[in-house]
Amino acid sequence: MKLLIITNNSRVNEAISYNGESCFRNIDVDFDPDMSQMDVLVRARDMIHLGAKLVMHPMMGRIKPHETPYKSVFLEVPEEREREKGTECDLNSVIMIEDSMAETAKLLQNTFALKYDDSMLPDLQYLDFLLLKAGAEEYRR
Amino acid sequence: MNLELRKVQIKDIVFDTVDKIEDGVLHVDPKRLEELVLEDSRVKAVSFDIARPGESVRIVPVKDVIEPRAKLEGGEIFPGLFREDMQEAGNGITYCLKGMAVTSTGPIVGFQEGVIDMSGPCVDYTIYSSILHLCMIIEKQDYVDPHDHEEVVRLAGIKVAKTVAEIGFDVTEYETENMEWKPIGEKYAEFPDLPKVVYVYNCMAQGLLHDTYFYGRDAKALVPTMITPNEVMDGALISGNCVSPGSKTTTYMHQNNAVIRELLKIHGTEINFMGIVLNPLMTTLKEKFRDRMMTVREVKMLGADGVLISQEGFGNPTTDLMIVCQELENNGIKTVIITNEDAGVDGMSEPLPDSVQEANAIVTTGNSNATVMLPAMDKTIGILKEVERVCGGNVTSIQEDGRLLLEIHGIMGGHNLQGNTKLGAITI
Repeated sequence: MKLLIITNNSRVNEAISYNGESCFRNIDVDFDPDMSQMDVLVRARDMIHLGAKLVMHPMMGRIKPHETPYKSVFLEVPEEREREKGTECDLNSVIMIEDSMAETAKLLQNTFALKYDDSMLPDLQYLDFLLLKAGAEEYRR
Repeated sequence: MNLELRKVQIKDIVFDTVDKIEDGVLHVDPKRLEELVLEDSRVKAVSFDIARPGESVRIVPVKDVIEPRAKLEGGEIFPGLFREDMQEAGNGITYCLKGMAVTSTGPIVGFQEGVIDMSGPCVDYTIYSSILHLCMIIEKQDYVDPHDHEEVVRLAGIKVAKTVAEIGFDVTEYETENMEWKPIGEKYAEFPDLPKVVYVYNCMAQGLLHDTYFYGRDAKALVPTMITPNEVMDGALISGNCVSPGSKTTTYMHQNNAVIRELLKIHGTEINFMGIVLNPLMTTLKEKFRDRMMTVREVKMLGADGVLISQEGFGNPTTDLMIVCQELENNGIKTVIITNEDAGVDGMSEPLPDSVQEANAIVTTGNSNATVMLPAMDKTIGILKEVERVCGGNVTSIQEDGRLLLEIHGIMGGHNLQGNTKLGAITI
Protein backbone atom coordinates (compact mmCIF):
# COMPACT_ATOMS: atom_id res chain seq x y z
CA MET A 1 0.00 0.00 0.00
CA LYS A 2 1.26 3.50 -0.79
CA LEU A 3 0.03 6.98 0.06
CA LEU A 4 -1.12 9.49 -2.53
CA ILE A 5 -2.47 13.04 -2.44
CA ILE A 6 -4.37 14.28 -5.48
CA THR A 7 -4.40 18.07 -5.50
CA ASN A 8 -4.78 21.22 -7.57
CA ASN A 9 -3.08 23.28 -4.85
CA SER A 10 0.54 24.24 -5.65
CA ARG A 11 1.24 24.90 -1.98
CA VAL A 12 0.49 21.26 -1.17
CA ASN A 13 2.62 20.10 -4.08
CA GLU A 14 5.56 22.22 -2.90
CA ALA A 15 5.29 20.94 0.65
CA ILE A 16 5.31 17.32 -0.45
CA SER A 17 7.71 17.45 -3.39
CA TYR A 18 10.30 19.97 -2.23
CA ASN A 19 10.06 21.04 1.38
CA GLY A 20 10.47 17.67 3.02
CA GLU A 21 8.11 18.23 5.96
CA SER A 22 8.23 15.04 8.00
CA CYS A 23 4.47 14.47 8.12
CA PHE A 24 4.45 14.29 4.32
CA ARG A 25 7.26 11.72 4.02
CA ASN A 26 6.70 8.81 1.62
CA ILE A 27 3.61 10.36 0.12
CA ASP A 28 3.23 10.62 -3.66
CA VAL A 29 1.52 13.61 -5.14
CA ASP A 30 -0.63 13.85 -8.23
CA PHE A 31 -0.61 17.60 -8.89
CA ASP A 32 -2.30 19.44 -11.73
CA PRO A 33 -3.14 23.13 -11.22
CA ASP A 34 -5.62 23.02 -14.08
CA MET A 35 -7.90 20.49 -12.39
CA SER A 36 -11.17 21.82 -10.98
CA GLN A 37 -12.31 20.64 -7.56
CA MET A 38 -14.66 18.25 -9.30
CA ASP A 39 -11.81 16.91 -11.47
CA VAL A 40 -9.85 16.13 -8.30
CA LEU A 41 -12.84 14.32 -6.78
CA VAL A 42 -13.52 12.37 -9.97
CA ARG A 43 -9.89 11.29 -10.22
CA ALA A 44 -10.04 10.14 -6.56
CA ARG A 45 -13.32 8.32 -7.14
CA ASP A 46 -11.87 6.43 -10.09
CA MET A 47 -8.98 5.28 -7.93
CA ILE A 48 -11.37 4.28 -5.13
CA HIS A 49 -13.21 2.10 -7.64
CA LEU A 50 -9.86 0.38 -8.27
CA GLY A 51 -9.29 -0.32 -4.59
CA ALA A 52 -7.96 2.94 -3.07
CA LYS A 53 -9.26 4.09 0.35
CA LEU A 54 -9.84 7.59 1.68
CA VAL A 55 -7.49 8.61 4.50
CA MET A 56 -9.21 11.96 5.11
CA HIS A 57 -12.76 12.95 4.45
CA PRO A 58 -12.70 14.75 1.09
CA MET A 59 -14.58 17.85 2.29
CA MET A 60 -13.19 20.73 4.31
CA GLY A 61 -14.51 21.52 7.76
CA ARG A 62 -16.17 24.84 7.13
CA ILE A 63 -15.02 26.31 3.87
CA LYS A 64 -17.51 25.31 1.22
CA PRO A 65 -16.86 24.38 -2.42
CA HIS A 66 -18.04 27.76 -3.76
CA GLU A 67 -15.70 29.54 -1.35
CA THR A 68 -12.41 28.08 -2.57
CA PRO A 69 -11.05 26.66 -5.85
CA TYR A 70 -8.70 24.22 -4.06
CA LYS A 71 -9.18 20.56 -3.34
CA SER A 72 -6.80 17.92 -2.06
CA VAL A 73 -7.75 14.28 -1.51
CA PHE A 74 -5.58 11.95 0.59
CA LEU A 75 -5.69 8.23 -0.36
CA GLU A 76 -4.21 4.87 0.52
CA VAL A 77 -3.60 3.15 -2.83
CA PRO A 78 -2.89 -0.58 -3.23
CA GLU A 79 0.42 -1.45 -4.88
CA GLU A 80 0.40 -3.20 -8.22
CA ARG A 81 1.16 -6.62 -6.72
CA GLU A 82 -1.70 -6.19 -4.21
CA ARG A 83 -4.03 -5.29 -7.04
CA GLU A 84 -3.01 -8.39 -8.95
CA LYS A 85 -4.10 -10.50 -5.99
CA GLY A 86 -7.41 -8.67 -6.16
CA THR A 87 -8.54 -5.84 -3.90
CA GLU A 88 -11.98 -5.08 -2.61
CA CYS A 89 -13.62 -1.75 -3.18
CA ASP A 90 -13.97 0.15 0.15
CA LEU A 91 -17.66 0.96 0.40
CA ASN A 92 -17.22 3.67 3.06
CA SER A 93 -14.89 5.50 0.71
CA VAL A 94 -17.26 5.08 -2.23
CA ILE A 95 -20.15 6.56 -0.27
CA MET A 96 -18.10 9.47 1.09
CA ILE A 97 -16.61 10.42 -2.26
CA GLU A 98 -20.01 10.22 -3.98
CA ASP A 99 -21.64 12.33 -1.22
CA SER A 100 -18.82 14.85 -1.53
CA MET A 101 -19.22 15.07 -5.30
CA ALA A 102 -22.96 15.59 -4.95
CA GLU A 103 -22.44 18.27 -2.28
CA THR A 104 -19.80 20.04 -4.35
CA ALA A 105 -22.02 20.05 -7.43
CA LYS A 106 -24.94 21.37 -5.38
CA LEU A 107 -23.05 24.21 -3.77
CA LEU A 108 -21.42 25.26 -7.04
CA GLN A 109 -24.82 25.40 -8.73
CA ASN A 110 -27.24 26.56 -6.09
CA THR A 111 -25.64 29.19 -3.93
CA PHE A 112 -25.23 32.88 -4.01
CA ALA A 113 -22.09 33.13 -6.17
CA LEU A 114 -18.43 32.30 -6.20
CA LYS A 115 -17.00 34.47 -3.49
CA TYR A 116 -13.25 34.71 -3.77
CA ASP A 117 -11.00 36.85 -5.90
CA ASP A 118 -7.35 36.52 -6.90
CA SER A 119 -6.11 38.42 -3.86
CA MET A 120 -7.43 35.65 -1.60
CA LEU A 121 -5.89 32.71 -3.44
CA PRO A 122 -2.68 32.52 -1.35
CA ASP A 123 -4.73 32.44 1.88
CA LEU A 124 -7.07 29.78 0.48
CA GLN A 125 -4.10 27.67 -0.64
CA TYR A 126 -2.67 27.99 2.86
CA LEU A 127 -5.90 26.91 4.58
CA ASP A 128 -6.27 23.86 2.30
CA PHE A 129 -2.62 22.99 2.95
CA LEU A 130 -3.04 23.30 6.74
CA LEU A 131 -6.08 21.03 6.74
CA LEU A 132 -4.10 18.43 4.83
CA LYS A 133 -1.13 18.87 7.13
CA ALA A 134 -3.38 18.34 10.18
CA GLY A 135 -4.64 15.16 8.49
CA ALA A 136 -1.14 13.92 7.65
CA GLU A 137 0.00 14.55 11.24
CA GLU A 138 -3.07 12.74 12.58
CA TYR A 139 -2.38 9.83 10.23
CA ARG A 140 1.23 9.50 11.44
CA ARG A 141 0.34 9.58 15.13
CA MET B 1 -18.11 20.94 42.27
CA ASN B 2 -19.87 24.17 43.29
CA LEU B 3 -19.94 27.35 41.27
CA GLU B 4 -21.67 30.60 42.16
CA LEU B 5 -22.35 32.78 39.14
CA ARG B 6 -22.88 36.45 40.05
CA LYS B 7 -24.59 38.09 37.12
CA VAL B 8 -24.21 41.85 36.90
CA GLN B 9 -26.61 43.39 34.38
CA ILE B 10 -24.96 46.04 32.20
CA LYS B 11 -27.32 48.68 30.71
CA ASP B 12 -24.76 50.85 28.96
CA ILE B 13 -21.02 51.25 28.36
CA VAL B 14 -19.19 54.61 28.38
CA PHE B 15 -15.52 55.52 27.97
CA ASP B 16 -14.09 57.28 31.03
CA THR B 17 -10.79 57.85 32.77
CA VAL B 18 -11.77 55.61 35.68
CA ASP B 19 -13.08 52.05 35.71
CA LYS B 20 -16.34 51.47 37.59
CA ILE B 21 -19.89 50.17 37.29
CA GLU B 22 -22.49 52.66 38.47
CA ASP B 23 -26.27 52.20 38.13
CA GLY B 24 -25.65 49.41 35.65
CA VAL B 25 -23.42 51.61 33.47
CA LEU B 26 -19.93 50.25 32.78
CA HIS B 27 -17.32 53.01 32.80
CA VAL B 28 -14.11 51.79 31.23
CA ASP B 29 -10.81 53.47 30.42
CA PRO B 30 -9.93 52.62 26.80
CA LYS B 31 -6.31 53.73 27.35
CA ARG B 32 -5.82 51.05 29.99
CA LEU B 33 -7.27 48.39 27.69
CA GLU B 34 -5.08 49.55 24.82
CA GLU B 35 -1.98 49.28 27.01
CA LEU B 36 -3.06 45.81 28.06
CA VAL B 37 -3.42 44.61 24.46
CA LEU B 38 -0.17 46.30 23.37
CA GLU B 39 1.72 44.27 25.99
CA ASP B 40 1.81 41.68 23.20
CA SER B 41 4.53 43.02 20.90
CA ARG B 42 2.90 41.28 17.93
CA VAL B 43 0.10 43.89 18.02
CA LYS B 44 0.72 46.93 15.82
CA ALA B 45 -2.35 48.95 16.76
CA VAL B 46 -5.54 48.60 18.76
CA SER B 47 -8.52 50.83 19.44
CA PHE B 48 -11.90 50.45 21.09
CA ASP B 49 -15.43 51.48 20.17
CA ILE B 50 -18.93 50.89 21.55
CA ALA B 51 -22.01 49.59 19.72
CA ARG B 52 -25.43 49.67 21.36
CA PRO B 53 -28.69 47.90 20.45
CA GLY B 54 -30.89 50.11 18.26
CA GLU B 55 -28.03 52.16 16.84
CA SER B 56 -27.41 52.38 13.10
CA VAL B 57 -24.09 50.55 13.47
CA ARG B 58 -22.58 47.59 11.64
CA ILE B 59 -19.66 45.60 13.10
CA VAL B 60 -17.69 43.72 10.44
CA PRO B 61 -15.62 41.54 10.25
CA VAL B 62 -16.25 39.99 13.68
CA LYS B 63 -13.80 37.31 14.83
CA ASP B 64 -14.95 36.40 18.33
CA VAL B 65 -17.62 37.51 20.80
CA ILE B 66 -16.76 37.00 24.47
CA GLU B 67 -18.84 37.60 27.59
CA PRO B 68 -16.74 39.33 30.27
CA ARG B 69 -16.20 36.91 33.16
CA ALA B 70 -13.77 36.97 36.08
CA LYS B 71 -13.20 34.88 39.19
CA LEU B 72 -13.37 36.37 42.67
CA GLU B 73 -12.30 33.07 44.21
CA GLY B 74 -11.77 29.43 43.23
CA GLY B 75 -9.13 29.49 40.52
CA GLU B 76 -8.74 31.25 37.25
CA ILE B 77 -11.18 32.26 34.54
CA PHE B 78 -10.31 30.94 31.05
CA PRO B 79 -7.95 28.44 32.75
CA GLY B 80 -4.79 27.28 31.00
CA LEU B 81 -4.52 30.30 28.75
CA PHE B 82 -2.18 32.47 30.75
CA ARG B 83 -0.67 30.19 33.38
CA GLU B 84 0.61 26.64 33.34
CA ASP B 85 -0.46 25.63 36.86
CA MET B 86 -4.15 25.51 36.11
CA GLN B 87 -6.80 24.33 38.54
CA GLU B 88 -10.00 22.62 37.55
CA ALA B 89 -12.49 25.27 36.46
CA GLY B 90 -16.06 25.43 37.71
CA ASN B 91 -15.60 26.05 41.44
CA GLY B 92 -15.85 29.19 43.55
CA ILE B 93 -17.34 32.54 42.56
CA THR B 94 -17.49 33.89 39.02
CA TYR B 95 -18.68 37.36 38.01
CA CYS B 96 -20.42 37.67 34.64
CA LEU B 97 -21.24 40.99 32.99
CA LYS B 98 -24.57 40.23 31.30
CA GLY B 99 -26.06 42.10 28.37
CA MET B 100 -22.68 42.90 26.85
CA ALA B 101 -19.71 41.36 25.09
CA VAL B 102 -16.15 42.07 24.08
CA THR B 103 -16.16 41.74 20.31
CA SER B 104 -12.97 41.48 18.28
CA THR B 105 -12.69 42.83 14.77
CA GLY B 106 -9.88 43.32 12.26
CA PRO B 107 -8.54 41.25 9.35
CA ILE B 108 -7.56 37.59 9.93
CA VAL B 109 -6.67 35.23 7.07
CA GLY B 110 -8.45 34.85 3.75
CA PHE B 111 -12.06 34.87 4.70
CA GLN B 112 -12.96 37.59 7.00
CA GLU B 113 -15.58 37.20 9.62
CA GLY B 114 -19.26 37.85 10.11
CA VAL B 115 -21.58 40.83 10.35
CA ILE B 116 -23.52 42.18 13.33
CA ASP B 117 -25.99 45.04 12.75
CA MET B 118 -27.30 46.78 15.85
CA SER B 119 -30.65 47.61 14.19
CA GLY B 120 -32.75 46.60 11.18
CA PRO B 121 -33.67 43.08 10.06
CA CYS B 122 -30.43 41.57 11.45
CA VAL B 123 -32.04 41.88 14.90
CA ASP B 124 -34.47 39.12 13.89
CA TYR B 125 -31.60 36.72 13.14
CA THR B 126 -29.04 37.02 15.90
CA ILE B 127 -28.99 37.48 19.65
CA TYR B 128 -25.83 39.58 19.25
CA SER B 129 -27.86 42.54 17.94
CA SER B 130 -29.56 42.81 21.32
CA ILE B 131 -26.47 43.15 23.51
CA LEU B 132 -23.91 45.93 24.01
CA HIS B 133 -20.56 45.47 22.29
CA LEU B 134 -17.23 46.76 23.50
CA CYS B 135 -15.47 46.43 20.13
CA MET B 136 -11.74 45.83 19.91
CA ILE B 137 -10.27 46.79 16.51
CA ILE B 138 -6.88 45.10 16.33
CA GLU B 139 -4.08 45.08 13.76
CA LYS B 140 -1.02 42.82 13.79
CA GLN B 141 2.59 43.67 13.06
CA ASP B 142 3.54 42.97 9.45
CA TYR B 143 5.91 40.10 10.32
CA VAL B 144 3.28 38.09 12.22
CA ASP B 145 2.27 34.92 10.34
CA PRO B 146 -1.36 33.71 10.02
CA HIS B 147 -1.17 31.24 12.93
CA ASP B 148 0.22 33.83 15.31
CA HIS B 149 -2.25 36.38 13.99
CA GLU B 150 -5.19 34.21 15.00
CA GLU B 151 -3.62 33.65 18.42
CA VAL B 152 -2.91 37.37 18.94
CA VAL B 153 -6.52 38.33 18.31
CA ARG B 154 -7.92 35.41 20.32
CA LEU B 155 -5.78 36.07 23.40
CA ALA B 156 -6.29 39.85 23.29
CA GLY B 157 -10.07 39.39 23.32
CA ILE B 158 -9.91 37.02 26.28
CA LYS B 159 -7.58 39.32 28.24
CA VAL B 160 -9.86 42.31 27.70
CA ALA B 161 -12.96 40.29 28.66
CA LYS B 162 -11.32 39.14 31.89
CA THR B 163 -10.04 42.63 32.77
CA VAL B 164 -13.38 44.30 32.11
CA ALA B 165 -15.23 41.69 34.18
CA GLU B 166 -12.96 42.39 37.17
CA ILE B 167 -14.50 45.87 37.34
CA GLY B 168 -17.65 44.04 38.45
CA PHE B 169 -16.11 42.83 41.73
CA ASP B 170 -17.19 46.05 43.48
CA VAL B 171 -20.83 45.74 42.42
CA THR B 172 -23.20 44.68 45.19
CA GLU B 173 -26.34 44.23 43.09
CA TYR B 174 -26.30 41.03 41.12
CA GLU B 175 -28.38 37.97 40.41
CA THR B 176 -26.97 34.76 41.84
CA GLU B 177 -27.08 31.33 40.25
CA ASN B 178 -25.67 28.34 42.09
CA MET B 179 -24.46 25.42 40.03
CA GLU B 180 -23.72 22.17 41.78
CA TRP B 181 -22.31 19.25 39.83
CA LYS B 182 -22.24 15.92 41.66
CA PRO B 183 -20.32 12.70 41.01
CA ILE B 184 -21.93 10.32 38.52
CA GLY B 185 -23.02 7.76 41.15
CA GLU B 186 -24.82 10.38 43.22
CA LYS B 187 -26.50 11.79 40.15
CA TYR B 188 -27.59 8.32 39.13
CA ALA B 189 -29.14 7.62 42.54
CA GLU B 190 -30.77 11.02 42.88
CA PHE B 191 -33.43 10.67 40.18
CA PRO B 192 -33.59 6.95 39.38
CA ASP B 193 -36.96 7.20 37.62
CA LEU B 194 -36.09 10.00 35.22
CA PRO B 195 -34.60 9.32 31.77
CA LYS B 196 -30.84 9.79 31.82
CA VAL B 197 -29.63 12.27 29.21
CA VAL B 198 -26.10 13.00 28.01
CA TYR B 199 -25.00 15.91 25.84
CA VAL B 200 -22.43 15.18 23.10
CA TYR B 201 -20.68 18.50 22.48
CA ASN B 202 -18.99 18.49 19.06
CA CYS B 203 -16.13 20.94 18.60
CA MET B 204 -13.91 21.72 15.63
CA ALA B 205 -10.29 20.46 15.77
CA GLN B 206 -8.92 20.73 12.24
CA GLY B 207 -6.31 23.47 11.81
CA LEU B 208 -5.98 27.23 11.56
CA LEU B 209 -9.36 29.00 11.83
CA HIS B 210 -10.97 25.61 12.52
CA ASP B 211 -9.89 25.02 16.11
CA THR B 212 -11.20 24.99 19.67
CA TYR B 213 -9.12 25.36 22.82
CA PHE B 214 -9.77 23.29 25.95
CA TYR B 215 -7.97 24.59 29.05
CA GLY B 216 -5.89 26.70 26.68
CA ARG B 217 -4.70 23.71 24.67
CA ASP B 218 -5.56 22.84 21.09
CA ALA B 219 -8.46 20.37 20.90
CA LYS B 220 -6.63 18.52 18.09
CA ALA B 221 -4.65 16.86 20.89
CA LEU B 222 -7.86 15.70 22.60
CA VAL B 223 -9.79 12.45 22.56
CA PRO B 224 -13.50 12.49 23.51
CA THR B 225 -13.57 13.65 27.11
CA MET B 226 -16.17 13.89 29.85
CA ILE B 227 -16.56 17.50 30.99
CA THR B 228 -18.95 19.37 33.29
CA PRO B 229 -21.28 22.33 32.72
CA ASN B 230 -19.44 24.27 35.43
CA GLU B 231 -16.15 24.16 33.52
CA VAL B 232 -17.83 25.46 30.39
CA MET B 233 -19.27 28.40 32.36
CA ASP B 234 -15.75 29.28 33.55
CA GLY B 235 -14.28 29.45 30.06
CA ALA B 236 -12.60 26.03 29.81
CA LEU B 237 -13.61 26.16 26.13
CA ILE B 238 -12.39 29.01 23.91
CA SER B 239 -13.22 29.49 20.26
CA GLY B 240 -10.39 29.52 17.74
CA ASN B 241 -12.86 29.30 14.91
CA CYS B 242 -13.37 31.64 12.08
CA VAL B 243 -15.39 31.19 8.91
CA SER B 244 -19.10 30.46 8.69
CA PRO B 245 -20.08 33.14 11.21
CA GLY B 246 -23.67 31.91 11.29
CA SER B 247 -22.78 28.59 12.83
CA LYS B 248 -19.43 29.10 14.51
CA THR B 249 -19.43 28.57 18.24
CA THR B 250 -17.99 31.80 19.58
CA THR B 251 -16.56 31.90 23.07
CA TYR B 252 -19.80 33.67 24.08
CA MET B 253 -21.82 30.71 22.76
CA HIS B 254 -19.64 28.31 24.77
CA GLN B 255 -20.07 30.43 27.92
CA ASN B 256 -23.82 30.63 27.31
CA ASN B 257 -24.25 27.17 25.75
CA ALA B 258 -27.99 26.96 25.15
CA VAL B 259 -28.13 23.15 25.25
CA ILE B 260 -26.48 23.05 28.68
CA ARG B 261 -28.79 25.82 29.92
CA GLU B 262 -31.93 24.01 28.78
CA LEU B 263 -30.81 20.61 30.07
CA LEU B 264 -30.06 22.13 33.49
CA LYS B 265 -33.50 23.76 33.52
CA ILE B 266 -35.31 20.44 33.19
CA HIS B 267 -32.81 18.41 35.21
CA GLY B 268 -34.56 16.79 38.16
CA THR B 269 -38.06 17.31 36.78
CA GLU B 270 -38.13 15.85 33.26
CA ILE B 271 -34.66 14.34 32.86
CA ASN B 272 -31.57 13.35 34.78
CA PHE B 273 -28.76 15.30 33.09
CA MET B 274 -25.85 12.91 33.54
CA GLY B 275 -23.02 14.72 31.80
CA ILE B 276 -21.28 16.05 28.73
CA VAL B 277 -18.92 14.33 26.31
CA LEU B 278 -16.73 16.80 24.42
CA ASN B 279 -16.08 15.29 20.99
CA PRO B 280 -13.30 16.81 18.84
CA LEU B 281 -14.05 16.76 15.10
CA MET B 282 -10.88 15.53 13.43
CA THR B 283 -9.94 15.25 9.75
CA THR B 284 -8.84 11.66 9.11
CA LEU B 285 -11.27 8.80 8.95
CA LYS B 286 -9.39 6.66 11.47
CA GLU B 287 -9.60 9.47 14.05
CA LYS B 288 -13.28 9.98 13.27
CA PHE B 289 -13.99 6.28 13.82
CA ARG B 290 -11.89 6.13 17.00
CA ASP B 291 -13.64 9.24 18.36
CA ARG B 292 -17.00 7.67 17.53
CA MET B 293 -16.08 4.55 19.51
CA MET B 294 -14.81 6.57 22.49
CA THR B 295 -17.74 9.00 22.50
CA VAL B 296 -20.26 6.17 22.45
CA ARG B 297 -18.38 4.30 25.17
CA GLU B 298 -18.36 7.36 27.44
CA VAL B 299 -22.04 7.98 26.80
CA LYS B 300 -22.73 4.38 27.80
CA MET B 301 -20.54 4.73 30.91
CA LEU B 302 -22.72 7.68 31.88
CA GLY B 303 -25.74 5.38 31.62
CA ALA B 304 -27.57 7.41 29.00
CA ASP B 305 -31.05 6.57 27.76
CA GLY B 306 -30.96 9.53 25.41
CA VAL B 307 -28.42 11.84 23.83
CA LEU B 308 -28.48 15.30 22.35
CA ILE B 309 -25.67 16.19 19.90
CA SER B 310 -24.90 19.75 18.86
CA GLN B 311 -22.95 20.16 15.64
CA GLU B 312 -20.12 22.45 14.65
CA GLY B 313 -18.76 23.12 11.17
CA PHE B 314 -19.91 21.80 7.83
CA GLY B 315 -18.67 19.25 5.32
CA ASN B 316 -16.53 16.50 6.87
CA PRO B 317 -17.88 17.20 10.44
CA THR B 318 -21.32 16.11 9.25
CA THR B 319 -19.85 12.63 8.93
CA ASP B 320 -18.82 12.66 12.62
CA LEU B 321 -22.32 13.81 13.54
CA MET B 322 -23.96 11.04 11.55
CA ILE B 323 -21.70 8.13 12.52
CA VAL B 324 -21.95 8.98 16.23
CA CYS B 325 -25.74 9.23 15.94
CA GLN B 326 -25.89 5.92 14.08
CA GLU B 327 -23.75 4.08 16.62
CA LEU B 328 -25.72 5.49 19.57
CA GLU B 329 -29.03 4.46 18.01
CA ASN B 330 -27.62 1.01 17.26
CA ASN B 331 -26.80 0.77 20.97
CA GLY B 332 -30.42 1.54 21.83
CA ILE B 333 -29.74 5.15 22.87
CA LYS B 334 -32.28 7.58 21.45
CA THR B 335 -30.43 10.46 19.80
CA VAL B 336 -31.43 13.95 18.71
CA ILE B 337 -29.21 16.08 16.47
CA ILE B 338 -29.05 19.87 16.21
CA THR B 339 -27.67 21.12 12.90
CA ASN B 340 -28.25 23.81 10.33
CA GLU B 341 -29.00 23.11 6.67
CA ASP B 342 -27.19 24.15 3.51
CA ALA B 343 -30.08 23.71 1.15
CA GLY B 344 -29.12 26.28 -1.48
CA VAL B 345 -30.48 29.78 -2.01
CA ASP B 346 -33.92 28.42 -2.95
CA GLY B 347 -33.95 25.84 -0.13
CA MET B 348 -34.63 23.03 -2.60
CA SER B 349 -31.33 21.14 -2.44
CA GLU B 350 -30.28 18.24 -0.25
CA PRO B 351 -29.52 20.04 3.03
CA LEU B 352 -26.71 17.89 4.49
CA PRO B 353 -23.54 16.47 2.91
CA ASP B 354 -23.93 13.17 4.78
CA SER B 355 -26.83 11.34 6.38
CA VAL B 356 -27.79 7.99 7.92
CA GLN B 357 -31.21 6.41 8.36
CA GLU B 358 -30.75 6.29 12.13
CA ALA B 359 -30.69 10.12 12.25
CA ASN B 360 -34.46 10.25 12.57
CA ALA B 361 -34.76 13.16 15.03
CA ILE B 362 -33.11 16.35 13.80
CA VAL B 363 -33.66 19.90 15.02
CA THR B 364 -32.71 22.43 12.35
CA THR B 365 -31.46 25.95 13.01
CA GLY B 366 -32.31 27.09 9.48
CA ASN B 367 -31.03 27.17 5.91
CA SER B 368 -27.73 29.02 5.89
CA ASN B 369 -27.92 29.80 2.16
CA ALA B 370 -31.16 31.78 2.36
CA THR B 371 -30.47 35.44 1.56
CA VAL B 372 -31.40 38.60 3.40
CA MET B 373 -31.13 42.27 2.37
CA LEU B 374 -29.73 44.43 5.16
CA PRO B 375 -30.16 48.22 4.99
CA ALA B 376 -27.22 50.64 4.96
CA MET B 377 -25.96 51.64 8.41
CA ASP B 378 -24.70 55.10 9.38
CA LYS B 379 -21.51 53.80 10.95
CA THR B 380 -19.25 50.80 10.46
CA ILE B 381 -16.93 49.51 13.17
CA GLY B 382 -14.23 47.54 11.35
CA ILE B 383 -13.95 47.42 7.57
CA LEU B 384 -17.15 47.38 5.44
CA LYS B 385 -15.34 46.26 2.29
CA GLU B 386 -14.55 42.95 4.05
CA VAL B 387 -18.22 42.00 3.57
CA GLU B 388 -17.20 40.91 0.08
CA ARG B 389 -15.02 38.27 1.69
CA VAL B 390 -17.13 37.11 4.62
CA CYS B 391 -18.72 33.74 4.38
CA GLY B 392 -22.19 34.42 2.99
CA GLY B 393 -21.13 37.60 1.21
CA ASN B 394 -19.54 38.12 -2.20
CA VAL B 395 -18.15 40.80 -4.46
CA THR B 396 -21.67 41.98 -5.34
CA SER B 397 -22.91 42.07 -1.74
CA ILE B 398 -22.58 45.83 -1.28
CA GLN B 399 -25.37 47.48 -3.26
CA GLU B 400 -25.05 50.94 -4.84
CA ASP B 401 -27.30 52.46 -2.19
CA GLY B 402 -25.24 50.91 0.61
CA ARG B 403 -27.54 47.98 1.35
CA LEU B 404 -26.06 44.52 1.84
CA LEU B 405 -27.20 41.27 0.28
CA LEU B 406 -26.00 38.40 2.45
CA GLU B 407 -26.60 34.72 2.97
CA ILE B 408 -27.77 34.10 6.52
CA HIS B 409 -24.54 32.42 7.49
CA GLY B 410 -22.80 35.77 7.05
CA ILE B 411 -24.62 37.03 10.15
CA MET B 412 -22.75 36.19 13.37
CA GLY B 413 -24.81 33.60 15.25
CA GLY B 414 -27.42 33.54 12.46
CA HIS B 415 -28.02 29.83 12.93
CA ASN B 416 -26.05 28.95 16.06
CA LEU B 417 -25.72 25.20 16.37
CA GLN B 418 -26.43 25.02 20.08
CA GLY B 419 -29.77 26.60 19.22
CA ASN B 420 -28.97 30.01 20.72
CA THR B 421 -30.62 31.66 17.75
CA LYS B 422 -33.87 33.15 16.59
CA LEU B 423 -34.28 30.79 13.63
CA GLY B 424 -35.96 27.43 13.92
CA ALA B 425 -38.33 25.12 12.14
CA ILE B 426 -42.09 24.85 12.42
CA THR B 427 -44.43 22.34 10.85
CA ILE B 428 -46.89 23.95 8.46
